[in-house]
Amino acid sequence: MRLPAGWALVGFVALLLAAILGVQWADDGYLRTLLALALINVMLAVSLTLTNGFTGLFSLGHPAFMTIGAYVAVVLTYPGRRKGFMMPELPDWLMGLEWPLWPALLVAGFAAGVMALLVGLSVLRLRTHYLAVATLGLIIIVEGLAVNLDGITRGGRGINGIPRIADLWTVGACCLLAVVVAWRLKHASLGRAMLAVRENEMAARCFGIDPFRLKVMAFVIGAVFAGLGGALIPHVIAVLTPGSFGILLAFNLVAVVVVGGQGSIVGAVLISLAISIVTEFIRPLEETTQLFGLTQILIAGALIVVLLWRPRGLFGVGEPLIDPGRRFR
Amino acid sequence: MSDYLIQQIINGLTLGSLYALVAIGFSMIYGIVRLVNFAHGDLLMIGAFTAVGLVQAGLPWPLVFVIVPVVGFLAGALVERIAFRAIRGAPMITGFIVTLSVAIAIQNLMLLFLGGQPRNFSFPSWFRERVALGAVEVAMIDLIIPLVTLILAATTYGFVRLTRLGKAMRAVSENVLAARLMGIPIDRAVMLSFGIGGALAAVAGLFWGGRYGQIDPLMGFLPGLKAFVATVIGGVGSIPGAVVGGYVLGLAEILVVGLLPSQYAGYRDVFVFLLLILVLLVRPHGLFGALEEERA
Amino acid sequence: MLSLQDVHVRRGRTHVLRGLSLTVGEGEIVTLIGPNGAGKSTTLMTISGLLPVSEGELQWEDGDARLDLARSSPAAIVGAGIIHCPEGRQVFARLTVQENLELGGYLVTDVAGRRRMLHEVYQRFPVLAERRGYPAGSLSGGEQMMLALGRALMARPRLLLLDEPSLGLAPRIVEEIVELLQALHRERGVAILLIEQNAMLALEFAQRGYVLEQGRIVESGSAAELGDHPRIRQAYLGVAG
Repeated sequence: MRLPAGWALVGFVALLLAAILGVQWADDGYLRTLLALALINVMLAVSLTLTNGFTGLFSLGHPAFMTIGAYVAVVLTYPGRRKGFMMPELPDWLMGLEWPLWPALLVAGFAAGVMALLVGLSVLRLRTHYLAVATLGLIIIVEGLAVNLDGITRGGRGINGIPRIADLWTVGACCLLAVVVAWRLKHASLGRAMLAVRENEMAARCFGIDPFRLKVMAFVIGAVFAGLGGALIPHVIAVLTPGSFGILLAFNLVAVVVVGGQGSIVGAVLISLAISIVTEFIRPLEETTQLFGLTQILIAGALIVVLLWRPRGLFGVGEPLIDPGRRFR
Repeated sequence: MSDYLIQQIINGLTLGSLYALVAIGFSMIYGIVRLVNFAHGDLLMIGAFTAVGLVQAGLPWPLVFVIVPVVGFLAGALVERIAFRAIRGAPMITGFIVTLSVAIAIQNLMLLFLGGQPRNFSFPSWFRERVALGAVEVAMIDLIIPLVTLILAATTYGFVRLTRLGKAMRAVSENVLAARLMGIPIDRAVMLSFGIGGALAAVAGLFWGGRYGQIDPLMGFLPGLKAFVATVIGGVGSIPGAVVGGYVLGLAEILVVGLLPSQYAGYRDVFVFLLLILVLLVRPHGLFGALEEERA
Repeated sequence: MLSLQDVHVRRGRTHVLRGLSLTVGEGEIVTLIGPNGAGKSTTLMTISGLLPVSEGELQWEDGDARLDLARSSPAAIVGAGIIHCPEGRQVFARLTVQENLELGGYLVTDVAGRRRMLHEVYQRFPVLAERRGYPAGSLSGGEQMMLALGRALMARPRLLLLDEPSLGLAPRIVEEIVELLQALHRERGVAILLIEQNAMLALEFAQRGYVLEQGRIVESGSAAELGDHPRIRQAYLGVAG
C-alpha cells in the first residue's frame, strides 16, 4: 500500500506541525534545540541527496558551504553592542547592521550558492576520486580562511553570544522547503535527466543532456541549502567556530545519504531522523562509560555493514512507501 | 643564499621526505585497486604510536626502527584484508565511503584507547646534533630522514620493476583480467601493495614523531590527504612521481610559509589544497603519471 | 582432453549458457561460432575458471592429470596448461614486451626452462625480439597478437583458448597469425579452441566446429560439414541459400 505523494506531503507537514507545537507547549529549551538540530540535519541530508544522489556526484563539500553561510549570516545578525569587540576589522557598513534572521538567511544562501557556482564550474569536471578530495580540500580551505581572517571571524576562538533567533517555525519552514524542492526537482524532467546522468553519463549525452550543466545545477542548489543550514545552526546554539562544520560532518552527512540510498529523499529523511535519535541515546552512554568517539565508530561501522550488504544503500533511488505518480488519489 | 632560506629548504626537504614516503603507498594502492585510501594516513599515526610504545617498553632504538615498518606492513595488509577486499568489485562511491569510514573508525578507536592528549616523542639526543655541510649546519635528523627516504624509495622502486612479484603487482595494476589469466595471484599482489605502503607510512610516522616531537591519534589524516596532493602532483601510479611530488609539496609548503610575511603562516593548509585544485585543473596527470583520464 | 557437459552459467540475472556440451580432443583444432551474445566468450571464461558454474560438468584430462575445472582456481587451470588469450589481446600496455612475456611464464618455476622458452618465442616472433624493450602498448595490432601468443606460449599450453584472434587485424596479418598457429599446432601438438566472428576463416582453420546460439550448441560436426551446411552458409558465411 503506497501513499499518494500529495497525502504523504500533507502527512509530513502535519507531523512537523505536531512536533513543533508539542515542543513549544512543553516549553523545554533542550527539546527545542534537539528538534531544531534534527530538522536542520534532515534539511542537510536531503540537500546532499540532491547534490550527490541525483547526478551521481561525490561531493564532500557541504560543510564548506555551511561555514560560508554561517559566517555571512552571523556577520549580518550579530547585535551591535558586542560587534566591535567580536569582529573588530569589520567594515563600517557591516558593523552597523543588525538584521533579523530571514534576510540574513537569504543572503547566506545566496553567498553559498555563488561560491558553489564558482567552485563547481572549476571542479565538477573532475573524476570521482579527485572531486572528492578537491571538495575535502575545499573544507580545509574555507576553515583555513575562517581561522586566519580573524579580524572578521575571531579566528579559532570563534564567535559566541549569537542571538538565538532561529525559532522552530523558521527551521521547520526551511526544512520543508528543502524537502519540497528536492521532491519536485526529482520528479520533474530535470530530475529525471539528472538521474540519467547518474546511471550512464555517456548515454545521457546521446540524448542531448548536458551532464556538466546538470551537475553544476545540482551542486549549486545543494550548496544553497547547505548555506541555509549553516546559517541556521549558530542561531540555535549561539556559537560558531571555524571548525564547526568539518570533515567529520561531511562524512556523517554522506553516510546518511549513502545508507538512505543515494537518491531517495524519503530514505534521507528517515535515516537522518534515525541517526539524530540514536545519537541522542548514545551520548549519555558515551559520558557514563567515558568512551568518547563511540558514536562515530558505531556510525562508521554501521555504514560499512550496510554498504557490504546493500551497495546501493537501503532504498536505492526509490522512494519507499510513497507513490510519486499519484497526487491525492 | 641566506641562512634562513637554507634552513627553510632543509625543513622543506625533511617534510617532503615524509610526504614522499606516504605518497608512494598511496600511489601503489591507487594503481592497483583504483581507490583513494583515506585510511593510509592513519598508518602513519600507527607507526608513530608503535614507536612510542616500543620505546616505553624499553626496546633499544635500532630494534624499534626494524619493528615499526613490520607493524606498518601488517597493519596495511590487515586493513586490506578486512575492509578493502570485500568491496573490490563494488561501485566506486561505495569504495570511497568505506575507506573514509575505515579511516574514521581507526582514528576514533585510537582516541578511545589512547585518549586525545598529544604525547611526546623524542629521538635519542644525537639526532639533534648539528653537522657541518660545507657552509651550512644541519641537524643529523634532517640528514637521516631524506637519506632513509631515498633508500626506501629506491628499494621499493627496484622491487616493483625488477622482481617477479613486483612485476606481477604492476601487471595487476595494468590489467586484472589478463593478470588472472596468467595465474598471477591477485589477492597476494594487492595485499602486498597495501603492506608495503603501510610499512613506508609507518616509517614516516616514526620520523614525523621524532622530528616534530608530538603525536596524537588524529595526526595522520591531514598528512595523508596532503600525501594525496603530492601523489597528484607527481602523477598517480608512478613511484618516482610520488617521490618527486612529495618533495615538491614539502618544499612548496615550507617555502610559502617561510617567505611570506608571518601573518600568513596560518594559510599553510589553504595553500596546499589550493595547489591541489590548481594541479587538478591544469595538469591532472601530474608530472610523471599517465594513468588515466581524470576528467569526467 | 576438455569435456563440457550440460553446463549452465549465469551472469547476474542472465542465464547465458543453457546446457552447453562440447569436447576438445588431444591436438584438435575446434572452433566455436555463433552470433553475438550467444555466450562464446562466456564459455571460454568459464573454462578458465573466471565464472562460476551453476550446473554441469567441466572436466580436463591430460595423460594422468585430471582437473575438475568447475572447482579449480584460475591459477590451477593455467598451471594445467589451459591458456586463454582474451578478446582484444589485453597485453599489459605499459610493461615492456619482455616483461609481458616473462609474466606469461609466471607460474613456470623452472627458471632455465623459462629462459629457453623466451628464446624460442623470440625466434618464432622476430618482431617481438626487436621490440623487446618497448612498452607493449606501442605495438601494432598484429604485433600485439603475436605478443599475446608468445605470452601464451611461455605458459607451456596444452590447450589454447583463443577469443577472436582476428579482431581488428588486417587480412594479411591475419594470414600470418593463422600460419603461426598452424606451425604451433604442428610442432607442439597444442590443442586449440577458437572463437571467431569470421566464420569462414574459422572453418578453414579448424578441424571441427560447434555452432552456439542462445547458450546452447545447435550444430556440430567437422569443419567441412559445417561449411557445407545450408543454414550455416546463410547465417554465418553470407552465402545465399
